[in-house]
Amino acid sequence: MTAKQDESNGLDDLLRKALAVELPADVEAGMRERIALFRAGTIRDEGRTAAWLFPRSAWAVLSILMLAAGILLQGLGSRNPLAEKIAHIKAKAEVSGPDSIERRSGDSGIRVIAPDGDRVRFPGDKEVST
Amino acid sequence: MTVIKQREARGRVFMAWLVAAAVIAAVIVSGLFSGLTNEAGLFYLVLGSVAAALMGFSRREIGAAFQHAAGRPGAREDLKRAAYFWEAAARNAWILGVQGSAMNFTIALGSESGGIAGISGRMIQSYIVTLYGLVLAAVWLVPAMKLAGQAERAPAAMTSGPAPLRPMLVERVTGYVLFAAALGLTIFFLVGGYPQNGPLPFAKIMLHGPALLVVFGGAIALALFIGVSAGARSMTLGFAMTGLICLLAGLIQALYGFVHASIQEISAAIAFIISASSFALLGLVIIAAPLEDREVMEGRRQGPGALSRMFWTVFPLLTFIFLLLTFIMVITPMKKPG
Repeated sequence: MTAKQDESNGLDDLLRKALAVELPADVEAGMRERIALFRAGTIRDEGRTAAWLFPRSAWAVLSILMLAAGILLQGLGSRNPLAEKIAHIKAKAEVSGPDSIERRSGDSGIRVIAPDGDRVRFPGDKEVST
Repeated sequence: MTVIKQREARGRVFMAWLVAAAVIAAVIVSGLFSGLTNEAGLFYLVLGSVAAALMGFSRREIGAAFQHAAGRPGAREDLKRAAYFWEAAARNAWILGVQGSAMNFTIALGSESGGIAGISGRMIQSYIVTLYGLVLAAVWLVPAMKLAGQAERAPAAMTSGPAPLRPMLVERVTGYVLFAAALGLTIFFLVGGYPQNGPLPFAKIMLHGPALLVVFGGAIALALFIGVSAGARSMTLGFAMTGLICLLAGLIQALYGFVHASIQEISAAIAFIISASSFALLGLVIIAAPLEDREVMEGRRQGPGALSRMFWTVFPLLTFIFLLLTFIMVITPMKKPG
């Protein structure tokens, strides 16, 4: 045990002597700055982790509830204004069909004739009559 | 000799920026002549991109990125950070372009004026925002690639290293306020010409409850499951994976709707696809991406993860394809008329 301690002390002395070099001031300042940045980052990360971990169980419950509620609402076909609008448009398309769309070549835009005879202007056309 | 070389380099950079500006101008002007313009979409894309940049980067970082792109030399780490800024700008433009299309699509479907033909026209016009986003992304990728190439050859400097950890609360708050303004004003411009029924009818149309719950619930659950060690990447993965699952689930529901010949089922599925993809893209661009940007700029990570990069590219592309599919599903009748 004593022999091992002596060996360690000898090694420590050797290391101290080998590394006893005066660093240039700017290098020392740079190293100190980097160490301070590293410490600041570590402390900040620890704080973040703690803040994130604390409500983790609450977040987990909330997210699962949100997910389940969303899937149920979508699966059960709950009323939704956008879906109703699309259904209305789709019903119109079912009645009229795609044959009402008339494409004209040689013009800057695409002109569309609606089933009820309305001419609808696309970007580039000049007149609108509905 | 060195002065002449510097002048030549500056001249080359000036020419490169001039060409980029000419490309953007050509796209806009050709759109004006062919009638394929979407002013509200362009406004959303430009203002949204500025806001997204402020959410993830400090003023100093943005300024340095512009200076390096204009030809200022720098140390390897500085050039790498500048290249990352431009890569993030390209990513934001691409995601915002597709998100703008999805939002425009929702508003086009939400207004019934002009009959089926008018609605079809507005739906097609909403795709132009993706085109703008793609052009802008291509332009921003040029400085990103050039700076990344220069960084490989540049010497490493002793003073260079991770950016100092300084609070960027002002930039973040400005970014989020600007983004909210861009979103609100774009919706206002888009719905301005359409008749509305009751108070805030378009808010009801855009805030699709089930999609909102599934996307944000799913993203949080996935991020928690992945764990803190993955950092902001878990949020990217959460939003993108939830978005992809929603797209697929919506498509399956729509196909069942065609089999059952149920317009209600198809409509519910289409509404879910459009809204869920829009929310997932929004989550990516305003929550996940700025967090990943901070991790990279503060030196906590070498760069964005390969999976994050893949999702930033692939998920908007899939969303665009699904928007095309929904357009076909809306205008195609299930049986021949008559």
